[in-house]
Amino acid sequence: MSDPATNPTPADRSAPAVDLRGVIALLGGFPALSGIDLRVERGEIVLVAGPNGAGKSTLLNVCAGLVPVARGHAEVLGTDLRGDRGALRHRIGLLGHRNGLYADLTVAENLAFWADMVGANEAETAAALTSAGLDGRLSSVRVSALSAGQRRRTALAVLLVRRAELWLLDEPHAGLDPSGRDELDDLIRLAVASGVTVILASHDLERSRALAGREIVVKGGTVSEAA
Amino acid sequence: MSPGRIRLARRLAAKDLLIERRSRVLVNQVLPFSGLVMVVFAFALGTGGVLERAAPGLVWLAVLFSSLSTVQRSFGLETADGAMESLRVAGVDPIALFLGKAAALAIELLVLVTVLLGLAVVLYGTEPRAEGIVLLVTTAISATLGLAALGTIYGGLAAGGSGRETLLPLLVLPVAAPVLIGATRGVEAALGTDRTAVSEGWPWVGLLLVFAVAIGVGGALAFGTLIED
Amino acid sequence: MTPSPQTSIRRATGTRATRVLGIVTLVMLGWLGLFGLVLSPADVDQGDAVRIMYVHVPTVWLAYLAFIVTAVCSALYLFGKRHSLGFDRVAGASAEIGVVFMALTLISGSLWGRITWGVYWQWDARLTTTALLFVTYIGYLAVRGLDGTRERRARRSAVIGLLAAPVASLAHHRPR
Repeated sequence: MSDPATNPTPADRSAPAVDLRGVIALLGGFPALSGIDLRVERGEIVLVAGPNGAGKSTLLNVCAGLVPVARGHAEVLGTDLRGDRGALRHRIGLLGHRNGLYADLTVAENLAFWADMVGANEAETAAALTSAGLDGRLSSVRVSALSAGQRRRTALAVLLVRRAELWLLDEPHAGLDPSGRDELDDLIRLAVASGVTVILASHDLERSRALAGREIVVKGGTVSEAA
Repeated sequence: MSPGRIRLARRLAAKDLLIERRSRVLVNQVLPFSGLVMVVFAFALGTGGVLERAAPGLVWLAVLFSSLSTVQRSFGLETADGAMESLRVAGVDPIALFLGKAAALAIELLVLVTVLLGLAVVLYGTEPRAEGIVLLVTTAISATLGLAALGTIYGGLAAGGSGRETLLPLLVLPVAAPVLIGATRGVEAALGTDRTAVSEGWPWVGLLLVFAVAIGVGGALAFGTLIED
Repeated sequence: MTPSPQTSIRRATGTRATRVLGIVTLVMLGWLGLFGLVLSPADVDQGDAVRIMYVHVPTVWLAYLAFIVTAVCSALYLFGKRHSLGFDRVAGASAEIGVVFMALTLISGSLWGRITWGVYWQWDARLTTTALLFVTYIGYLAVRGLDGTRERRARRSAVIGLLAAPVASLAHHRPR
């Protein structure tokens, strides 16, 4: 298999996190995105706003390489999406409404499992636990016994363990109480401080605007910069 | 095969077994169910030699039915919170995924087979004989490997979307028929049911091994495509 | 936008070739009926039951042929450079034809068996594997009915179509 620990080349490092120009993507034969231009620099937090069904999730899925680009220029982390995306997959963390955790395992066991999947060491796992505020007693609690906010933070801690450079978060605040949302935002800020780029789609605009440096609006399959 | 792939597969299998040790779904639900199937067979067929002669087939039929629940559990824990989806999106080697899931499934099914064979001795009065022990064990292992590989393929397919669980028996049972026949004949020869000789069982073990290898290789190559939904 | 008469004619699937094929098929069917039921004598051993064979044997060959086409088209879709959806459609259509003719085979065969052997069904290897093959392709058609985009459906069914074929032949060539 490809070694997930391969360090990106310097050229990759300086390339923008996302560079889409005139991207058209089809869902079921119909254009879900019709000519998207979007450039996201490293270390940015970008909020994707827009009504339901406007193509927010499709945009995130295109960036993750899950929805193929039908036409246009699309580069993510310096890799062309229309070429071989195999090595790109482990560098991207996509989080939808499901957390991807094993409910019968503890927080620490979930992270240790992922660490083994991607070749991270124990120190990195411990650091991720601390960053997510899940160290100490919480780490040995089964995921099934956690609150929604703690589960969401565990899912983000998995992204830390995976050393994902681009986080694509689809409605990360959904279903969390205000304090849970605060703790989640703290974790996202911490990750960005360490060099992670975040694109998040959210309906909680007020909160997300405070978090994000920039806001774009997806409407009718195209993107416009919010004032 | 790269050592990294084997290591990943072992880790995946260990994770599945740890989850089973925690949740005990198979021990508390599937194992009692399979025992119940064995008892119900006895009710239906009654005594008078029929049970003893049919015992090898009944054991494997019970294994086959129970393996469906085992496969559903194995992939249910992956889909409950989208874990399989995360693994796939993160680019974890699908061949390692297949091997890991199949290995855990094989170990779980082997426990099931052992318990049910023991139950056949108690309930159906089958008597294992010393010269057939090697054949019995080989048959059980090779049949289990085939079933595990098969279950992983179709379990992965059924895990792809909602409302697919009902598809699993329809897909698995006809393809599992060679395993059912081969394993039954193998165990018959090992036990000497109907005065069969031990040597008559070995061609069936060959069939079981060919099946396990074919399904294992095919499944490993196809798994990435099957879970991509 | 209402389709003009011309476009609706173009949308029909009939071509000159299919119409000729249809007429030829009807003529051949009549010919088969005439020879099978009227012109040919009853068999020495089987009596009039042999007339079932005139349907039974072609249907089973057709079913096997259809399943082979499904397997080949599945492979062509999966391993072809362009992943042409045309192969996927042929594979699916062929499996439907195969299942229908396999059903006819099983029905005509059991009727023949009732007359000749006195029972509708015998548990020999050939009959059993034929029945299993029938169910396997019902499963294949069920997989085709699953949700998803056309490409995903095509990939998924191609894999199942390919897996079904060797397993079926393995069941056919088992020892004894």
